[in-house]
Amino acid sequence: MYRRSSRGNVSLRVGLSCVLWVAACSGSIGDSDEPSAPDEAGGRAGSSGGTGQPGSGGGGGRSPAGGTGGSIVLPSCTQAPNAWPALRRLSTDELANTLRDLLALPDRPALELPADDQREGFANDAELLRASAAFVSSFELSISGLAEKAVTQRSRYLNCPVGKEDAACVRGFVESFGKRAFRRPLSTAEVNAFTGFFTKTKNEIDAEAALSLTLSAFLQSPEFVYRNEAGDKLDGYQLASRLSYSLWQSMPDDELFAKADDGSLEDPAVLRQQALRMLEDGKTRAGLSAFHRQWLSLDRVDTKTKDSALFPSWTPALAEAAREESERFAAHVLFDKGGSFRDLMTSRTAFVKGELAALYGLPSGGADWQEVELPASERAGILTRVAFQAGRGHSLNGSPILRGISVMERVVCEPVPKALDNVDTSNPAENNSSNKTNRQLFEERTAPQLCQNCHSTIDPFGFAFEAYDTAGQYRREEKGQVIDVSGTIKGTDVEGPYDGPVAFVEKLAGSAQAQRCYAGHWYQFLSGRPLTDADECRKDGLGKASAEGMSVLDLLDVIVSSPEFTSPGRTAP
Amino acid sequence: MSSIIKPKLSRRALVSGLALGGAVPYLPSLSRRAEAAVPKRLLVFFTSHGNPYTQWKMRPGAKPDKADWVADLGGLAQNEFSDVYAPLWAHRKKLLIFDCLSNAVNVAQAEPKGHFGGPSTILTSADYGSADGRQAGGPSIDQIIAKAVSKVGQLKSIELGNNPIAVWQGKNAKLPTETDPAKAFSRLFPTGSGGGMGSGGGADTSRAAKLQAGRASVLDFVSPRYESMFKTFDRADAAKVQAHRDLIRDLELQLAVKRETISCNDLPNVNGGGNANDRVDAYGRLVAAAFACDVTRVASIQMSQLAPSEFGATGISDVHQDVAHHETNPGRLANMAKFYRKHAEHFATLMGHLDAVPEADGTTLLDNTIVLWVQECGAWIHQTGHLAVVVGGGGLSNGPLLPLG
Repeated sequence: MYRRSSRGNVSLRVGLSCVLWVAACSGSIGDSDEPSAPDEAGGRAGSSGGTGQPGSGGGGGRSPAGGTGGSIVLPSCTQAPNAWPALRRLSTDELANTLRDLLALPDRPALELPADDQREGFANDAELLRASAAFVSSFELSISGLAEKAVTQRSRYLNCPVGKEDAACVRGFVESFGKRAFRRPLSTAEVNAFTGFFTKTKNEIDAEAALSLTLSAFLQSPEFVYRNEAGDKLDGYQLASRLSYSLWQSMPDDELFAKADDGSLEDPAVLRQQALRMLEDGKTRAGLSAFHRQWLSLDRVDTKTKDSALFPSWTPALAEAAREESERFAAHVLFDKGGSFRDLMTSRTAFVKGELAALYGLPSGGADWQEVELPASERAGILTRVAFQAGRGHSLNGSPILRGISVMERVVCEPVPKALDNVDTSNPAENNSSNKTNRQLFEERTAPQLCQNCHSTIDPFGFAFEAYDTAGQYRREEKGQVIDVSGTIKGTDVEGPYDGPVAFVEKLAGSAQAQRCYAGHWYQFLSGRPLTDADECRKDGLGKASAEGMSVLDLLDVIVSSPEFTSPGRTAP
Repeated sequence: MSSIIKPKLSRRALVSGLALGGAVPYLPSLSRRAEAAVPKRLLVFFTSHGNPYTQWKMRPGAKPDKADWVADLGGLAQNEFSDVYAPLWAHRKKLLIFDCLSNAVNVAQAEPKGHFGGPSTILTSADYGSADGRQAGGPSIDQIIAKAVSKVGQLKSIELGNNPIAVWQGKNAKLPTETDPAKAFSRLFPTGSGGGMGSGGGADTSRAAKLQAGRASVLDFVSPRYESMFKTFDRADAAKVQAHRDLIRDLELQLAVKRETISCNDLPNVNGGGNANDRVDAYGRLVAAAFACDVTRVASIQMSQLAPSEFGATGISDVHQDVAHHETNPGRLANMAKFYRKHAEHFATLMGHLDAVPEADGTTLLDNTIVLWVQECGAWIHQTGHLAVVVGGGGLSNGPLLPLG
């Protein structure tokens, strides 16, 4: 558990208080038939100390997790959540991270693999990740190339001089590399098979080819490409993988392997200790960056073009910087500030450089990222940033409808009605010479009752953001008029009026529905499967904890401490 | 013989009949020539949105609206083709145009239809694989056929284009596409030399050649590992690993095929232009080369919507947003007609590339290929009724439509 001082310093809490889950919620521990004992996700105690990341330049609006320092009680469940998947093909991200760590490459290799199919934005869904002919052939090509390069570092693999590759040397390579590639020790039969393959290839070609092709064989084996989390009980190696892929999106490190070797990782206290170690570690920061990118489809901005007369500074590089800013911001909130969902939605800390600074109304910055605080009246949290806003805008103008739909779908998990046929869906701002604001044009377009049936719900989720143009720049006026940035939300637990984007996202930050939605997305991301009714209880508990101020990292801690995390995977029905 | 076929009712016909439990696809009687029994190959062309009916419908000889009829296309003048289909006139003797076919499976489904439900059902004839309609419940017809007709050492199929939404390996298993023609080239002709003109291989017994052979031996070595792994899983997961094993076997066999055994003198010099029209042309040449060399017998090309500049529209920025949701506004209909006329040009280009390659028996590749054109949506925007189905290829004649199902 974490407690961070207002200066943003981080310290591990001394001692490990267990996260308790009741039997009824797990269906897998104990035999209690009393489903009423409260779950407890640890209290908040201990004092701050140590030195975390440097403090922010002006208070990021961080409220200590848990608020009161007391314990957070999760509601008990009468239904066990679904088991996690038994089999998961590594996603493209996971493959690249794993190859980087396994082959000790300076960066992630550029694998030219076909895009992974996505579910609700997430590209790591166990059911959808599978092989196709395109995947198999491009993977084969990439791996062959990497393996050929790897032999230039022969001594990393073979502990014997050139020309002296005796049985012991080859066996040593197969055993040690094989264990890291398969994320578990090899059986005797496997050692013999790979040793045999090496020797045969060496006899047919030479030792260098043998090394390259044997590496290639390891990396194209199912034990590398898939996570196998089936069985009657997860062993230490399976737990190590589940933990490392959950938090790092990559393979276990030496310490996790050591804890699997000595069997101690099967002890829940040790597992949790490892989880806490990992949550403090830069690899988690990098590994989890995919989450916010996918949750809000932040990379939509990458492909957006803006009208060059109106937005001369807009380039692909600027768009990319905008996306990176949002990712940096999310990482900062989670890892430097120990922040919660509320912080993610309200913090004004930003990282800017070059022309991106100008989009935020600041003087153009240099080539390096610079931490700044954005004005309280203009910005609050991740939704008010350039990436989210510009990613949902056209060339000339922002789209309140696209913005509203994204908030509904991704932030409050509210289903969005489908567009009608035979209505005018063209962009009202194209070829428009009137003095109407963008909002007025859209309001006019969706005025008929037929449209209002849905748009009276959708549009207020987007109208607040008329305070940002399609490049994400703050503005108060348009076409000589003051822009109306007020609205009234219908439905959900944030219904009612708001005035302006800051007030609107403040509403979302306090919404139990949004908290539940966000926590559920994390659970989906870690477990690699869509949530079903059986998971409602877990979602409720996490959402409630989040609403009470639990930090995002603590939410992750709770998820990896859950009984289903240590239970064997099952094939989805 | 070639025809336009208009049955009165929207019945479970060609498109939905195609994938009935893997049955032999129904096509109008398949042979003019005794020696050419059935087509050997399939090329699917899939395009976005719907083709507006008022713009493509044809009534040669003032045929009635409300009746079943079949009309011969072969004798029509170019101006007797509708504006949208005019580019197909050059291939009128090897063409079937269907009026009144529906994506029956999807018509019967609840929402969502259109952009989600259409692509997941049009070639699969299966119910949705997920409630939102974005996943398919089974394999698409091209994959079923690919399984049936591919030979050892061939690529079962090649998926091209920048809109991978309609081709499915199986339930919830969408197949990705190759967008870049050069990459697709190296998939079809894996020599390790990448795209461009075929390098001819040559009699290379060097270390490099041995390493190349070693790549196949790696696959040979790992495939039993997949076998022992899938035995430990439940059905759905086991099937996933097993399919992976099969794909590794396929790739191994392709890698092991010696280039000298492929008699391809004229591989296309593909370049992946940024323009959709250039890409379709490159895809067409690629498919023709792949079919000619018999490295695969099934291909598909899935197009995402065209940019206005690619089909000659002005004053709009986005087809979907500005044009596609309309069937009553004349200006928008005219743009949609332009859009689909451009796709008809693409279809004609694909047929042309196949027709330009002679087969040993004097026929052309096209004569032995079914080229099928279907869309995401039907004639009425987001509905999936009344599709604009066109089938090109040889050996077609205007047999009676069979009631299917």
